[in-house]
Amino acid sequence: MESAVFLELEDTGNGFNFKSSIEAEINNAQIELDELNETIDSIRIIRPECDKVDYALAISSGAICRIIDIFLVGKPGESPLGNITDKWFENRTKDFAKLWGWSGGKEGSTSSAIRFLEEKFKIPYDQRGASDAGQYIFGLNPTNHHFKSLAHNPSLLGLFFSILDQFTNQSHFVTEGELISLQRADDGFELQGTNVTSKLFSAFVNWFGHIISDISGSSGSKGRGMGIPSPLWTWTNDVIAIKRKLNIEPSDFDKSVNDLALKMFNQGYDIRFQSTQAIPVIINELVVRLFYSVRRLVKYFSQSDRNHRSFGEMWKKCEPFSNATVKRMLTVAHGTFCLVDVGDATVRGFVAGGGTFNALEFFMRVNVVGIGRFTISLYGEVKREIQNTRNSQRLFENVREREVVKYYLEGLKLLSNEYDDQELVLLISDFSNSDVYREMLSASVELANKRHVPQEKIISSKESGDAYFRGTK
Amino acid sequence: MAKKKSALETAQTKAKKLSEQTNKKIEELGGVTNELHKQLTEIQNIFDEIRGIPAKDKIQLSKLKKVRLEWEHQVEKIEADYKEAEVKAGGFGAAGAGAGIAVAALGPTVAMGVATTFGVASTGTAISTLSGAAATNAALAWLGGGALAAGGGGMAGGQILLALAGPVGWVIAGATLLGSGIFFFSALSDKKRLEKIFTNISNRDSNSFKLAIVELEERITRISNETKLLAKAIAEAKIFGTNYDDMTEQQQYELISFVNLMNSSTQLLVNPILGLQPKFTNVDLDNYFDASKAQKPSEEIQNLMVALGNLLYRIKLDDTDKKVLWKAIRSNKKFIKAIGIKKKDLELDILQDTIAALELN
Repeated sequence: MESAVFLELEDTGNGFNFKSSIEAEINNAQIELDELNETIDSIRIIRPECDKVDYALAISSGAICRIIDIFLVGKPGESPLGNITDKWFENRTKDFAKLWGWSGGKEGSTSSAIRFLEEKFKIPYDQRGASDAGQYIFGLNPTNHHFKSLAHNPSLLGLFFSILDQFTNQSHFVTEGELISLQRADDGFELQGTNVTSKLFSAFVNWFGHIISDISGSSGSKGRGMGIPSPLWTWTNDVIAIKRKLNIEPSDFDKSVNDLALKMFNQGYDIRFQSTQAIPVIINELVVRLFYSVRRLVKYFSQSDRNHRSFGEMWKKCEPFSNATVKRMLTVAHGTFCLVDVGDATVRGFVAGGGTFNALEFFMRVNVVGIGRFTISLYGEVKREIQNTRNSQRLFENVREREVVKYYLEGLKLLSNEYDDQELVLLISDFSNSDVYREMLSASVELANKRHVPQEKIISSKESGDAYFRGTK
Repeated sequence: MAKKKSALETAQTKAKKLSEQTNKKIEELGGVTNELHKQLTEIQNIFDEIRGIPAKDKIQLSKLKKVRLEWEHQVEKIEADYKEAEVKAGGFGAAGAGAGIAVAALGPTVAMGVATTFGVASTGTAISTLSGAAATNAALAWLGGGALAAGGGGMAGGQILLALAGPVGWVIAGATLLGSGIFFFSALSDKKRLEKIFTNISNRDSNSFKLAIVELEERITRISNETKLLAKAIAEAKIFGTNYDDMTEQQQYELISFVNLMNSSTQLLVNPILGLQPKFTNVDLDNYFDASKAQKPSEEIQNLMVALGNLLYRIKLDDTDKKVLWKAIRSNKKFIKAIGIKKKDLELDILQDTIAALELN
């Protein structure tokens, strides 16, 4: 194209310099604008897209699961679901015993399996407080020793004390706000292994195996027996143990919470019951995710074209895991569950206390697993909200910056148009060429227009030119 | 110890550097305008001779030359105003030699560059909505702003020039006036917000300067080219003789084209440089009040609105931004004193109306 040639001219025969910096600047500004647009597009504000039905379903699920909780979980001892869980744990204990060579078979009694495991995983800290070294420890008895003996706690600190006790042949208890250690706890005990690593390993296996042996009660226990305390409550032991080790006097609060946890354990609130509590929470979780998926699935099939369906796309639309909508539904469902749960537990707490609040009844009733799950949901909601606020700010700042770049680009484009006159000037400068003098006039008119010369001053034809030079008659 | 520069400081430094570069280009522009002006006068004389315009028609003649004369007048006015400010400030020119155009005595070259940059009003100038006075004011404000930015002995003169320039002047001084006190009294969160706003304003200004520099370069190139072209045209036209009817048709065509060329080249002296044009004027404000049928506020407040409009042109603000900015402006005693409005009259509506007026344009 001819115009392109003219634009590129840097030094013509006339000694003119027509190099333009506008185009280069337009390119730069355009790149800057593109980058900003990319950033703006990449900033995601994640908002849940729940409609009323979603919320209604979530609330219903939460409420229904709470009804399951009230009637089927209840509290230890009067819990239909709890009986099933107890049985399940017994069977698992037997399975575990079989794994290690117990030959009781299907009909073998649970206590035989437990006795087998107690023999297999010998530990030095199994004093029960009756007719053994534990009798000297105040407040220790067969019903509470799983709670008071730190090594029986299914927690990190429990593991630590178990290993410590096995290496040093001690036995540690937390009782009535004190940390008590029994020296030379069991003379018959010997930790197996040839070096520290293998001893550590066998100590760990002993701890675990012994906990399994105790999870459905002891070999000698009648009825349900005392299981292993719930890790959600043994932390009250940990607080006292750690404070005592650091020579800090545990506060009255620490002691009373520990006491409450102990009372709960005595009434049968152990790891088995804790698992029972998890059942309605898990059902709630599954139901909500299912609701979410099914609704999206129906929507997908009703809205998508039969010929264009793909599993990948369907999965993207329906998967109930990584999106803010299902997470919001879960928050609502677990929230509803907890709200009704805490309300119910409070009422029962007052009823049991005969007008005053009975904390024991309250905590026996309240579903800690549900509260834990709700807390996690709530944490997620807060985190997403903070992220959204931060992203909104970033978005605004980038949009603001983009406006300024747009201003620059618009200005440049205006200039590019205003100063697009090289061709015209070149044409005019070619005045010695006898072939183009008519074109020269029209070029000069065009140039004058481009430069905003007032209309009345532009001579646009030969006739007006003649009139201009001859003078008006 | 060198402290790490904040985003605002970086943006301000960049804007300042670009404004200095703009100043250099303006001076360069002034350097080439004089020669073009001479050629334009000469070719006009040739045309006059061919047209045989008698002395008694001089009035009509000067009317035709009006645009170029206006440019000359504008140059003179800028020089005179500057001198006046210099005298009033007690000879600040001598004190700050070498610290930028505005502080060193204003030479005729710079005056010409400044006159061209800010444009000369002429009828039918589509690119400019400025009246003649507004163009002068913008030019003075630029010079005053430069003097303030340079600091030192020039500042007093800068203030006087800005005062002469009126509301447009406040815009140029705005960043200086507002910036000096605005961050001092604000809470930390407000301060961060203000810093972001003013960073954005500085970036916008940088882009204005960049636009100006690009256009000034283009303008300088064209002026040099067309000065040469006019010289050739003059040589050519001289060959044609002075009798139009004796010329060949081609010569007549060429001559007519030269008239158009002369007028086109004259516009290179008077069309303003886009990047440095005020973005919001009293005319825009009047349009807003006409359209909204709202009661016009006092002249002082109108002036403030013009200043704000220029300060906030193409700056996006959210509601909190607006409140924080207004609070900061209200608590800047120096600024309030400079604009001559009582603090109690400074209502948020002024800012809201200004933004609405900006959106209207």
